[in-house]
Amino acid sequence: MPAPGVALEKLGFLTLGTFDGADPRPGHEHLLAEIELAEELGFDSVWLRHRHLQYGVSSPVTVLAAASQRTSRIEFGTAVTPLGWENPLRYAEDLGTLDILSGGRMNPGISVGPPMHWDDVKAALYPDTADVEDFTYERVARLHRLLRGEPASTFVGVDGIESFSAHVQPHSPGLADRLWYGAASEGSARRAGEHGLNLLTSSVVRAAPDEEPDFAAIQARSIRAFREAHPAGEAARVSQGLVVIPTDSATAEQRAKYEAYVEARTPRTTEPQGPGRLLFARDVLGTSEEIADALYAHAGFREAREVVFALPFSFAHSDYVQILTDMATKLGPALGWSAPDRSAAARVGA
Amino acid sequence: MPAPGVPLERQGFLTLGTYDADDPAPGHQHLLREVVLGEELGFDSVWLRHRHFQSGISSPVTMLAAASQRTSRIEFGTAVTPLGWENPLRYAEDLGTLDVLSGGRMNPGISVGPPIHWDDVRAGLYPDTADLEDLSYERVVRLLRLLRGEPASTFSGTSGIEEFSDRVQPQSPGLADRVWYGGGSRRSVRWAGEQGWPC
Repeated sequence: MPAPGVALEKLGFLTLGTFDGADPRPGHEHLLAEIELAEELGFDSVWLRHRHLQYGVSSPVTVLAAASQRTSRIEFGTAVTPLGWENPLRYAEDLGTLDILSGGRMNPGISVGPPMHWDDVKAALYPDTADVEDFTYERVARLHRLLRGEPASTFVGVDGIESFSAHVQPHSPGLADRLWYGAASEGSARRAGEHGLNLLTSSVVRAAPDEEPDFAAIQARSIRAFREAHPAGEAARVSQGLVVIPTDSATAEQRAKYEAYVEARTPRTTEPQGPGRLLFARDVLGTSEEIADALYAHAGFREAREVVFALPFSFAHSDYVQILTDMATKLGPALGWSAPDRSAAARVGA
Repeated sequence: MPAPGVPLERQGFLTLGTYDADDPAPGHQHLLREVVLGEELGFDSVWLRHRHFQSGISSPVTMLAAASQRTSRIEFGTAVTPLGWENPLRYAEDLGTLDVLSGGRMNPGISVGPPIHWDDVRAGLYPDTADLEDLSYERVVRLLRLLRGEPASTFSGTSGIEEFSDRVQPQSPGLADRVWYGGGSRRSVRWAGEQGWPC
């Protein structure tokens, strides 16, 4: 738990993979180039958001399978796949295949609940079954069981000339232990701990009805509740994912654009939003030194040992290159993180 | 229709991607190398079978996304994806993404009907919805409509700071015209023809 002087263990980043709806290829290619750059810079992991009916990656497994052939070390994740859109059995096959192709680098991040804009999408997503789909935690438990290799078919043996197994194929050992839950409330963080999952905390938390809307304090309490409930206790893995924008090597023009972006998003951070009392964290913008100071003062950050810094939505590829480069070469080191040997960030530091 | 003397126009190959269940990585890597070799040899296309609960590729879209980064010309296909296992909306997203990543090289091959060993797998595949799943041609029509960009949501516009479309994203132009139907009976072949699809 990085207080000043305690090294940050893992540096990752999270991105949406924005694209132009009328010409989606350049956005997808930029994303692949950013993942390659991040591996060169020494990032430990890249995480993709998972969007539907939006201009952001809708099939992260497919994109990461492509990225697996352009990288060899960086780990992959989703943050998060809304499991209400997935059939756990089919998704377990996709994840197993990706994990095999990438040499065990996949970290599936999930959450559960009715899909966003449910009333608008239910007729297309589940035309015949919408009323009986199970969007409870059982859907997570199903995926977890399938990834562990528990039986999902009652037929084993040979049929004609083909052999059948009782569990999902391919089975990738270790994948089930790399399942992360994206929790916004203390209750869902605790439940993730009880089930032995890893915990993703983001830039959104849910404030209880009578709770003081202090983002960092709520996040820190959730993390502690998760670890108390987790069989591994203090060793249980937690990552924190604030939107962080280092400006060390930004041009004046880039800085002005970033400041305007943060400015526009700040009003929603001042009080809980909507009936669900969602509380958004402020984006953290500044030099790496300023960001490090802000993080060390953040109760949520101090409870984590890993970060997955979120990139802002809708910036240009050249902005992401600057931000990723500053994160790995300046901000990471300011947090005590060291890049793996042979990475570009390690060479810069040497 | 090649009689002797009429040149065959396109030569593709179809494979299962067999692997050892106790050590699946080598089989998957061999398959990727075979796809690369197929391109080097000049094949027009490679098609993957789509298996479940077997030691053969269970996620051809994932495999072909990997192959898209090791090849530049050879076309991809599935022959065939049993659509009873897929949610057409989610599958349209996977296919669209693969088609974008591969520069328009994907040919989704599908068929429909109750999954193989339905009584053995239904509790694992559709624990709550097995009796309600529509496993008729309508499932194919749904996929096709979504690939064509017909509305999939009654909401489009901005919600909070995010923009929503009413169509599956990404939309890859031409993909809907590259859907193939795996017809096993005269009836299904005739039906595919009536829809104007390759078979």
